[in-house]
Amino acid sequence: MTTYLDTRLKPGKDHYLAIGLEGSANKLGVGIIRHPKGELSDSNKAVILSNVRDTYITPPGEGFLPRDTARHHRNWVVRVIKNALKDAQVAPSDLDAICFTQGPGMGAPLQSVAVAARMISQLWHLPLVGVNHCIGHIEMGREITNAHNPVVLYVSGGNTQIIAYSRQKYRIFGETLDIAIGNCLDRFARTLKISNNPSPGYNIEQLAKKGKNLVELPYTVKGMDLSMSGILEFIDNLAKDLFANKKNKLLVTSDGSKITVEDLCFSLQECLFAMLVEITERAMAHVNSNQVLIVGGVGCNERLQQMMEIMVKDRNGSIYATDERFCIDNGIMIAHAGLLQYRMGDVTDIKDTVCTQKFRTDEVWVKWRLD
Amino acid sequence: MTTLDYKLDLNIPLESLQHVEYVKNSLSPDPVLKPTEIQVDFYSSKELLSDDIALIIKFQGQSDRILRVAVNNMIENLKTCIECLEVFG
Amino acid sequence: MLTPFAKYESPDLKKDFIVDCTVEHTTNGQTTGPSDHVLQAGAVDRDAPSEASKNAMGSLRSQLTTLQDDINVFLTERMKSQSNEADLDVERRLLDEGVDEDSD
Repeated sequence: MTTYLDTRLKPGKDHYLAIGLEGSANKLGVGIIRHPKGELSDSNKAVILSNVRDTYITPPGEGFLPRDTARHHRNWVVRVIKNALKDAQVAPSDLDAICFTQGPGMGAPLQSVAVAARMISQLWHLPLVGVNHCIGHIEMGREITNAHNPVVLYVSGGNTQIIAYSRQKYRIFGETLDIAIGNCLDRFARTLKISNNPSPGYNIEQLAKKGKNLVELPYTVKGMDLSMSGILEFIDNLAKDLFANKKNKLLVTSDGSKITVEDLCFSLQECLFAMLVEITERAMAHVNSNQVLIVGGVGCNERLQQMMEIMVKDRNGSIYATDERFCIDNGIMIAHAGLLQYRMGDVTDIKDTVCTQKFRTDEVWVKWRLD
Repeated sequence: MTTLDYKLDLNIPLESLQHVEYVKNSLSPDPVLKPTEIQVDFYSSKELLSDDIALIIKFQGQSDRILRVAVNNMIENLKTCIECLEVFG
Repeated sequence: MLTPFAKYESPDLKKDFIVDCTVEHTTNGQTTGPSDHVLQAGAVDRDAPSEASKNAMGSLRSQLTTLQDDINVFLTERMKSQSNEADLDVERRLLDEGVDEDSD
């Protein structure tokens, strides 16, 4: 049976294959996905054939600059594509489409990967599909977890959004008014000069596990939105006082013991995550949903998942999260979302493949969802 | 009124005119960052009525500084294209 | 052999860049490493370009890397020697742009 999704099925085939290229931040990812024909469902799932990633890692205390990140992507992109094909045991001629991240993200890294995508699309005679990075996270999260219509919390180094689906758009209910949550955690990691390997956020999380004392930080939920730059400035100053052994009554607990770096990491996480939980809960009430899907790099954080779970359980709902293969930026999510677009007839002419640093989640027409 | 007096022509020989088109199509969509300070034009050798098989990229900039940034960045992307031809061509 | 080349022209100078085909070239350029900023912070470069394949496109990529180095070094030298003129240039542009704004 042919559905609306299958008008592009190649003769004699019962499936589609797409390659996805992601490079909007410091991760370069290439993945290959297979969709069986027909509508995807719990019994008709996408199959991941390969998911290769290489991360640009900077020295402790340093963030990643566009120029060096682009250099990393350029110098690895061909090798990573080759490895993804090898892992999947797929030949270019088996593919249906080349999907690539068109935004949002950092300009030079995005462009460096788009150049490779354009080149292989011509060499292999395959159409290009430009994908919104956030849509990639959302669709991959839904596919992996079987969460059908969740409120989505998208938390990463570049984005903090609370999203709900309505009439073929992923609508943003709330978002950060300044910096992204991952950026806030990463920048605090830089203040502490802790390692960026495997990621600064992961290392903050490990330190936070050892924290016991909660330091009260500003709580800055503003309507459905939140602000984090003030919190970062506040805790940065606390950390500086702590390192300089400067007297500060916030750095002493009620029983007289000293606040540690671990306590600061713990307090920062508790404060930021409590704000996210509050806004997510309001979004759930608003759209009358009892599912929450957490996507994006910060979504791997176990404490965030735990706090969200307590709230969701109270509402008799369920929480869905993915592991680091999918919540951290990857190529497979771009292949997956791009293939959904391709199956609905969306391809991107090479002249229109210019990347854009600002590309909002709610700009994308989600043609493949009919609910 | 500024003039674009600092010029560099880059000549990249390739194995076929088709490859010249592929590389040109891969590099040309992206707009230059400061169009008032630098202009970049792509030509296939065929368009220039040459018997060679090459991609010619002409840069015209306002200064050596802008020329250096644009040429270096273009060569970086060119090398990605060539590596694609090298490995997948 | 496919050898890339470049021609430079400015109001005071013309120059051709020709890659010497009689010597070996590599994909590891002198001017294409990590930025000084991360090197100073102690970066170890694990992101060098892949080695060139032993085919025409591989050697083109190596030769282009050398050509890139030659152009970068040349233009950087030019920039240094003209730094005063460049400052004047910036000054002129600022002033000119100011005039433009007034006349709008």
